[in-house]
Amino acid sequence: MLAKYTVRRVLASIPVVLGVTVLTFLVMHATAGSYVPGLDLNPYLKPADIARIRSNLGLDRPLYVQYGTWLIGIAHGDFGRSLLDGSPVMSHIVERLPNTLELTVTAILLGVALSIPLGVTGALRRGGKIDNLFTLLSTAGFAIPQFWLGLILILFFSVQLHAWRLPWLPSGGAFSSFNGGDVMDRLEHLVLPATVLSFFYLSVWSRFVRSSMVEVLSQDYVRTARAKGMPERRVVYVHALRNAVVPLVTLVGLELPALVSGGLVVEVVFGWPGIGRLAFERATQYDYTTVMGITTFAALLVVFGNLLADVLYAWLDPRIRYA
Amino acid sequence: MIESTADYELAPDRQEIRPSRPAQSYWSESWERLRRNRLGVAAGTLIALLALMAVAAPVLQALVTHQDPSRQDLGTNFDLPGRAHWLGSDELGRDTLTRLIYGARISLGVGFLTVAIQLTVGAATGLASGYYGGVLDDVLMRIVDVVLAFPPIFLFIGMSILFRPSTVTLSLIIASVGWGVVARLVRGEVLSIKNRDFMLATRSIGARDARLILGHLVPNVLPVMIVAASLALGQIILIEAALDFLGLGIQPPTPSWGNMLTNAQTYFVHSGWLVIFPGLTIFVTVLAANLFGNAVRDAYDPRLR
Repeated sequence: MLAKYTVRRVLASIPVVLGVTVLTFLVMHATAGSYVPGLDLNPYLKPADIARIRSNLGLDRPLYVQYGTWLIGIAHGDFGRSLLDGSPVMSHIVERLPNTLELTVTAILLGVALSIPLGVTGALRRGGKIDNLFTLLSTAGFAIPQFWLGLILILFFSVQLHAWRLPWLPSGGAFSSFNGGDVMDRLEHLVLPATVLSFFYLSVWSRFVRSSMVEVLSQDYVRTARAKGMPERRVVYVHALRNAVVPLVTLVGLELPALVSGGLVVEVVFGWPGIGRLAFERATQYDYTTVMGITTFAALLVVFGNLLADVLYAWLDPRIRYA
Repeated sequence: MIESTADYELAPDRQEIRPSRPAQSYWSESWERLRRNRLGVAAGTLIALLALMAVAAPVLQALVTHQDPSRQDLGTNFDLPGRAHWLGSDELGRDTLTRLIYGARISLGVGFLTVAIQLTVGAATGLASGYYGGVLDDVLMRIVDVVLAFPPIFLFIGMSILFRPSTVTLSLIIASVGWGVVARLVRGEVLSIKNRDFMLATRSIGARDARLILGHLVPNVLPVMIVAASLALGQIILIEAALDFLGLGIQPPTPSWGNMLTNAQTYFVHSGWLVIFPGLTIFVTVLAANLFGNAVRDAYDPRLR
C-alpha cells in the first residue's frame, strides 16, 4: 500500500519537474542565445567561425533537442555555466550551499528553541502582562522588514558597541581570515544573521505553541491527571507539552523549502557567502544562466522535499495512504 | 377551551425563548463585527490615511513641506531632523519626509495592485478549475503546482532582471506567485459548495453555467477571498520593499521606502537616522495592514463562526 502511494506521488511529481525545467529552459534560451561570453562582440571572429563554434556547442539544434540536453544535464547534476566566466553553476552551488544551510538551520533551531518556552509561558499565564507583551512582540515581529532589522542590529551591536569601546559583534561575512576562522569566530559571525532570520519564525511559532498549549491544557486527560493529584509541573511539562509541540513539527516542515532560499535578504545585508547572495550578485550582473540554474536547483529541491515529506507522512500515518 | 393563542400565555420561565433581535444578513453582520473591533478600525483608518496621503502627495508637497523629493541641496546633506528638513535629509540633501510621502505611492500602489491581480487571476482559475473539473482541473492545478514549486524570492529576482521594473511590472511579478495560493483556496471552497442543495436546485430549474458561477459561486467564495487578500497585503508590502532594497525593484531617484534604505546603508555608520525613518514607516504600515487583516478575518471568515 505504501509502495502504491509512493509510486502515485512520484508520478504526480513528474509533470511538475517537467514544468519547472521547461520554464527555466525557455527563460535561459530567450535571454542567452549562447553562453560563451561576448561571442558576437569579438571583432576578429568571422561569421563562419561563430557559426562553427555555435554548432560545436549544439546551439543550432532544434529547440526540443536543446531542451533534452538541458534535462539530461540536470539529471547528471550539470545546471549550466555562467555567462560571465563560463564556470559551472553546480560548483558554485556546492561551494555556497553549506554556508546557507549553516545559517538557515541555525535560524530554524533557534526559532524552535525559543518559541516553545515563549509559547508555553504565554499559555500558562494567559491574559497576564507577560502574555500580552509576548503577543505584542510577535505581532510586531511579523511586520518588521528583515533587512531593516538587520541594519538596526548592525548599527547597535557592531557600530555603537564599538564606539562605546565594548566588545562588539562582527557585521558581515561568515568568518574572519585574520582571526583563524575557528568555531568561536564562526559563532560570533553567526549570531546576528541567525537572530534576524529566526525573528520571523519566532513570531509565528510562539503564537502557535501558545494556542496549541491552551487547547491541550483544556483536554480531558489533563483534567484527569490533575484530578489524580499529579504535580502541576509534571502535568504541564511531561504530558501537555509533548502533545502541544507535535503540530509545531508540521509547521517547521512547511519551512523546509525555505532552507535554501529563505535567507537571501539576510545574506545580502550581512555579506554572508551563501547561495542567496550568489544569486543576487549574479542577478545584478545579468548572469541569467547562473540565476536560472540556481532557481532550477532550488525548485527541484522543493519538489523532492515535498515528495519525501508526503511519503514520510504516509509511512507515519497509514490513513493517508488511502486518500 | 382554547379558542386562539391569545387565550393562553406562556409560563413565566418560557417567555425568554422568543428571539430578541431580527435576523441579519451575513454581510451586514460581519460589517458590524468589524466596526466593533476598535483595534481593527484604528488600523484600517491608518491604512486609509496613508493611501490618502499617497494620492495627495503633490498637494502635500506644495502646501505642507515645501520641498521637492528630487531636489538636491548638497549644502544641507545629512541634516538631523530640524526646521529645514522635518525628518532630516539624505546624502544628497533631499528631504526625507517628502520622499517618504512619495514613497507611499509606490508601496501602497504596488500592494493594492498586486492584491487585485492575485485575486482576479486566482479566483478565475479556482472557479474554472473547481466548477468544471476533469482535465481542465488537472491541467490548471499542475500549473499551479509548478508555479508554487519555485522559491518565490529567486523567481522575483529572476523576473526583475528580465523585465524593467516599474510599479505595474513589479505588481505582476509579485502576483505571479500569489495567484496560485488564491487559486487553490478558491478551488477548495468551490468544491465544497458545488454539490450543495441550493446549487443542484438552481441548476435543475435551468440556470446556465455563467449564472451559476457568477451569481451563486462567486458571492459564496468572496468571504474567503477577502480574508486572504487582507492578510496578504502586509506581506506584499514587505516583499516589494525588500526588492527595492536589493536594487531590483523601483530604481532611484524615484523614492521608495526600500530604496531609501539602500542609500542609507552606505552611510549609516555616521548617519544612523537615515536608516530609522524609512524602515519605521514600512514597519508601521505593515503592522497596520496585518492588524486590519486580522480584524477582517475575525469578522468575515465563515469558517470561524
